[in-house]
Amino acid sequence: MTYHIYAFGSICRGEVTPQSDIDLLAIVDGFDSRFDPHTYSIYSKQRLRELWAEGNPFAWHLAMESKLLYASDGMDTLSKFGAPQAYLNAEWDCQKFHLLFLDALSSITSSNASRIFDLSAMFLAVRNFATCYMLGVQRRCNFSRDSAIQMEEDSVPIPKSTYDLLVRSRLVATRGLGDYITSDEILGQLETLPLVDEWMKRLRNDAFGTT
Amino acid sequence: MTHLGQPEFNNRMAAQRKLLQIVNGAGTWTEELAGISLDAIDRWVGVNNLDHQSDVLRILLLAAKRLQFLSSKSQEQLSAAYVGIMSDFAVVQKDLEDALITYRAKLIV
Repeated sequence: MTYHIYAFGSICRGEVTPQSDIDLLAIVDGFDSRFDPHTYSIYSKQRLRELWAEGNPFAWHLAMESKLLYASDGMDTLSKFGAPQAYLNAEWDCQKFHLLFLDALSSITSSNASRIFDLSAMFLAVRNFATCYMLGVQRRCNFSRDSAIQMEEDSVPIPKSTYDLLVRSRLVATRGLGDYITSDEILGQLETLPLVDEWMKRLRNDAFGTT
Repeated sequence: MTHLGQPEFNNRMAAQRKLLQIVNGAGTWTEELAGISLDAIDRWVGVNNLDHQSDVLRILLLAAKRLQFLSSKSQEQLSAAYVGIMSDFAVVQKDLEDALITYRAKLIV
């Protein structure tokens, strides 16, 4: 069975920290028990072709930041795909991540039972919103986990302490790593979180005329 | 960045939140459960000295694997899998609530 293994993401950007994970992509023809979904993002070549054709941000991410590690047939499949089509779904994706943020904000202000997850979801929403906005509106490729604070005057306008709390929460919620997030830390940052909603509204309104 | 899923993406997040609220609302833990991922569950089990044979853990691991399955599915396969797995989550929620009651009862005895 033909298969290809790529590294992508932070390690290909040289964005290495003690908390960095290594993103691996496996391109397979069908089910292949050698590839654990806990370790690999697993895609068929056909599905990747579709993502390329729709200009999906993940296709752009792979096109810009992936390195072939192994190809059972010696072919660099992703390079042969060429550049993905233009990304045209920024309005829809920005709305989706805005709603994801608002769900998390509503949850954390009404319940104490999923606070770290809610902060983690906020980080995901902020990061993906920024990446989609830059790719779709500004035609800039920035797949850094810190894309939201690399937008110059359009960067997310929250204090560094709030941003760092979101980053730490993401690490605890997804990889089980890092210091635990205390109630006092969360309470200390709650009042700045609505600034994210204002930021998303402003960028969506500026770019698409809708919020 | 991973493949940015479709409308189901936000619903998967909501399903995770519901499971977390069931677990974290069921008692006082040394650390709350922060996510339905294998690594987050592993941390939570260790910190809280949870019985590795408990139904609570079994159900959480099953939920984590189902969510991982959905996130790794390609779109043409996703619709059917999504409908089945997300409808199963109502059952998972009920099973989890029952398992937590049983777990707590054993601790008291």
